[in-house]
Amino acid sequence: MSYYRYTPRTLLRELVMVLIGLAWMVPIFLLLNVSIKPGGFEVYGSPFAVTSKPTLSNYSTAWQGSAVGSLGHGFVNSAIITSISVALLIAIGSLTAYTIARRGGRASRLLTGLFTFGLALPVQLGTIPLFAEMRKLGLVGTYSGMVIIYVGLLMPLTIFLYMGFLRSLPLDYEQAARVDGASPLRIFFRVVFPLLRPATGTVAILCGLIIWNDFFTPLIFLGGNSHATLPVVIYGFVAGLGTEWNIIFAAVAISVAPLVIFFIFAQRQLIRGYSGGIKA
Amino acid sequence: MAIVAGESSAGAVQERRPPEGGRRDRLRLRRGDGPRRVPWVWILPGLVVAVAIQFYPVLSGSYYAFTSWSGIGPSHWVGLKNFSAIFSNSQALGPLVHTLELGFAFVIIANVLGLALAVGLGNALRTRNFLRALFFAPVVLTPLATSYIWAYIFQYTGPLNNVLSALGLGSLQQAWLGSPTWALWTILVVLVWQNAGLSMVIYLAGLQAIPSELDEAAAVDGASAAYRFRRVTLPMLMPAILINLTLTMIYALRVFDQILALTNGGPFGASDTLATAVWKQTFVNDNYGYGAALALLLTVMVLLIAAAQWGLVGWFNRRASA
Amino acid sequence: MASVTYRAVDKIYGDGLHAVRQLSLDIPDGAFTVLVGPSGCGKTTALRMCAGLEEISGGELLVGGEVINRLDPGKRDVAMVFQNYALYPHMSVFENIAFPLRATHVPAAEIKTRVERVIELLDLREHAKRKPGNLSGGQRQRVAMGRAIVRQPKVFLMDEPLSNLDAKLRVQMRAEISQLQHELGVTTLYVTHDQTEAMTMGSQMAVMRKGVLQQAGAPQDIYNDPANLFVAEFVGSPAMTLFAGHTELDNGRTVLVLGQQRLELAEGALARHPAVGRNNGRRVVVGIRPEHMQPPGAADSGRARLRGKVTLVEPLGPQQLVHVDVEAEPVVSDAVLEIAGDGDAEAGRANRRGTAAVRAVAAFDSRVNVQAGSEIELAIPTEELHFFDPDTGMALRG
Ligand SMILES: Nc1ncnc2c1ncn2[C@@H]1O[C@H](COP(=O)(O)OP(=O)(O)OP(=O)(O)O)[C@@H](O)[C@H]1O
Ligand SMILES: [Mg+2]
Repeated sequence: MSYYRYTPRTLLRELVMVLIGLAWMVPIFLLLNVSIKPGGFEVYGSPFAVTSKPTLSNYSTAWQGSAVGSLGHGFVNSAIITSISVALLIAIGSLTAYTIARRGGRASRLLTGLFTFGLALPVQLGTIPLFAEMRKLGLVGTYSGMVIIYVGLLMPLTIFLYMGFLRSLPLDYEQAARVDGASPLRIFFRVVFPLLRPATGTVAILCGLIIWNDFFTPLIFLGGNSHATLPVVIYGFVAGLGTEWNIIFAAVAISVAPLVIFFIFAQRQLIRGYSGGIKA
Repeated sequence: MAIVAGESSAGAVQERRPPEGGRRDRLRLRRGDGPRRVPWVWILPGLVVAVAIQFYPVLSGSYYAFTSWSGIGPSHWVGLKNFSAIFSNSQALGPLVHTLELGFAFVIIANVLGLALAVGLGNALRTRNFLRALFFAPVVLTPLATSYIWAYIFQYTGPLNNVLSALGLGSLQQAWLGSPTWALWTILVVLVWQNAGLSMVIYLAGLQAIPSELDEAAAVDGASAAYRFRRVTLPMLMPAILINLTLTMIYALRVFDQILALTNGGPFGASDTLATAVWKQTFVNDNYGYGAALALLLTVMVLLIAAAQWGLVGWFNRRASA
Repeated sequence: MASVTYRAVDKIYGDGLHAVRQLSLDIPDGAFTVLVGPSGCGKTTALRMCAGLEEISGGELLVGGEVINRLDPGKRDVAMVFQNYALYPHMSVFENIAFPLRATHVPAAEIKTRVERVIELLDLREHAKRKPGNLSGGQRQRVAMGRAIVRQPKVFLMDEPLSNLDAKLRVQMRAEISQLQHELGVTTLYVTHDQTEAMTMGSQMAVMRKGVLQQAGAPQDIYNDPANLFVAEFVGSPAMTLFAGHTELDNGRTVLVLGQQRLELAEGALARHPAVGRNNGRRVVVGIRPEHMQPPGAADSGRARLRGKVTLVEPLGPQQLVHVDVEAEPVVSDAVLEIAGDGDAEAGRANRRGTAAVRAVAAFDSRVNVQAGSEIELAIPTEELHFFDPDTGMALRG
């Protein structure tokens, strides 16, 4: 739309948008600003003023954590659960989506319908009996229990994302491989899976963020447990601190730091993952 | 060699057909040469885990919604008793009402704001990429964690009231999260901050999908910017609008983390929603049956909205091609 | 109605690309001017500046004698037909055509009569209620025309409106648009990279290259008297054949030397090109149109001859194109190579370098019997030759 000249009105619009953008970042500014305050009056009396005695001690206090577990533990737990779940989702989801997409026929349509339905289901209803069953099986409070839950809950989304991509993937490559005499397994691992890479990226980003940021499921299945993920640790930590906002904020800042770094480096893929994944 | 040649010529024939029909025919052609087809067993791991973790528990949970189960021991069928309890008095109805209030308000505000940001950050601005990233950033940050920042902002002695008094609006000061009137709307602000960026990104993708000549043609034809937006941009944005309405509605109905961090449903249940009520009834009070009934209500609402969107998209596509 | 005038118009894009340089062009009231040139030469840019879709970096653009440089697109009273038609997919044919009127708040009753008149004119009656998605390419094209016509604007701007149609439809729509423009009498600026459209449709033609206007005038004048090598090679299909050679004075006669062959220039040729005559050893580029290379017959016994070997005969119905390799020096100037190599001078040079033959293309009546592989003598009316300076590429006139 190059015919929009950069008029004074455009400049005005730019200024307004920049102002809104700055306002949008006020919470982030407060987060960082308060997290380095020594505490006391400065936290409440002058939240916007930059402290004259900046300190990193809040960060070390926060890092040590509370009885519920340290942030470090939460990090490790979140990282383990997220990475294993995402790896399994990619492995199982791509295979399932590929089979459904390439078999065709009524069974495929039925399965597509089933997984699309799963896409909209809220977790709450199923969580109730799931919790009872997992307790019976001794899986509550374990890594493996959490991983199984995430793989099951996010399978519909994973399949949906892969299916959207597979539909637009030309059959030529697979046909060429078949003519060359490759087995279905070989075709999948050597030809299809590498071609699915953009979709795999979207799956990794979306599912990874959903799992990393999830609070409801680990609260129920890992609450008060040494395997608790970061959000649960933060939740317990804050409950114990009351209004020591400078320390709370240090904990919050630590917990979102990896996301911020990830965002800065993978911003484009992230935005494309969200808007493209949802569009598909 | 002969088999290979046969296969490749069959492939060449299919390629000339339209993709859909071609795919179906290819399967028919391959029927009988067993091991070369993608085996159905490959879907088993995915299907089993999804059924075990999602579909079966949902069915089983729907059953518990009609029982007085307490989480352990046998469950007793009580019919619609749990539901009549939900609708029995305004106190019990609270979570449902709050969910709907929050849902509709969020849908409207997130979409209006998301669209305004997408349009405002159009191609002419020099800072557009930076600002887009900035508005989108909260979307990826842990909702629970960032909610604490807002808990601080809305404290009685917090920055918001500070600013109000500095502006001479001291009379507006209050304990935002502690007020039965304001708690829910305070949560709404947090939800909007965290998610308007997602709506914006979807609207941006929708806007980029509209060929720029359409807007240019309208401009040459003398249509004002407002007229172009209303008659050209908005109708062409319909798919993005539908997706966004559905996503924001479903998101708002499911909201949990932010409420737990900000108000824990309080004061006196003034900001309890279906999601938080399910959690409290089930995992705090051990009222599994009642919790399941609330969860079933939530599930039905979400599915109805998803179905409505599905129907609308179908209707829209049919109309577009009519 | 109004005239359109470009006065030394410049366009420099944000990335520093100088897309249009000092363009001066006058399109008289009611004229049909075709802007033609190879891909990327700045035609669309020139057109979009007139529509107000592109900011003008320098110079003045006048419509009806009024400078419109800073006027909004909608205020210029010009109508534009886009290459992809830019029809609104969510509106019916009727609504698409009505759009410009609705946008400018014309009363509903008047909209109805005006749109219906246009629909009648363009033979779109039975499609009025359909959406563009269900129309054929030609029908969409007509709807796009309708949307331009209905406004009764001062100027029509069309950007390659036929390029998305198949060959047959293109020929048909070419005639329809010309006729429509003639009936309506609206000043028209029409952009194309197809020189046949440029030759046949316009009352005026303007040839551009790399953002610079090369020549403007009546199509036939440009064909008969191209201003430089670029125009010579670009206009006309098949293209003019170019030879590099020199002149010699031989006993008071002027002889054109092409390779080993010597062609005596007739009096008429010397009269037309005094700069070439009476000049010994002057290097020139000579151009010959296909219709000016004929099989030797009784009628032209006095004409100069050019020997060569027939390599290919392409029958075209009434005519046949005869490709003849003539041993002579080919022309390797940038302007010519740019076209030969489809815009890439380097590729074109690689193609022609090292060859000692020029591939001449002659148009013969199809009744003449020619065989590929045979030797042939072509009769050349030397007064029809075109002469260019090999260094500047400019036509040698006067
Ligand atoms: N918005 C733009 N920004 C920068 N450069 C541009 C822009 N639009 C066009 N150009 C460049 O300007 C030059 C002229 O482009 P223009 O579209 O006017 O060519 P054209 O003659 O219409 O070509 P075609 O026949 O391919 O349509 C090209 O080199 C093109 O790459
Ligand atoms: Mg162009």
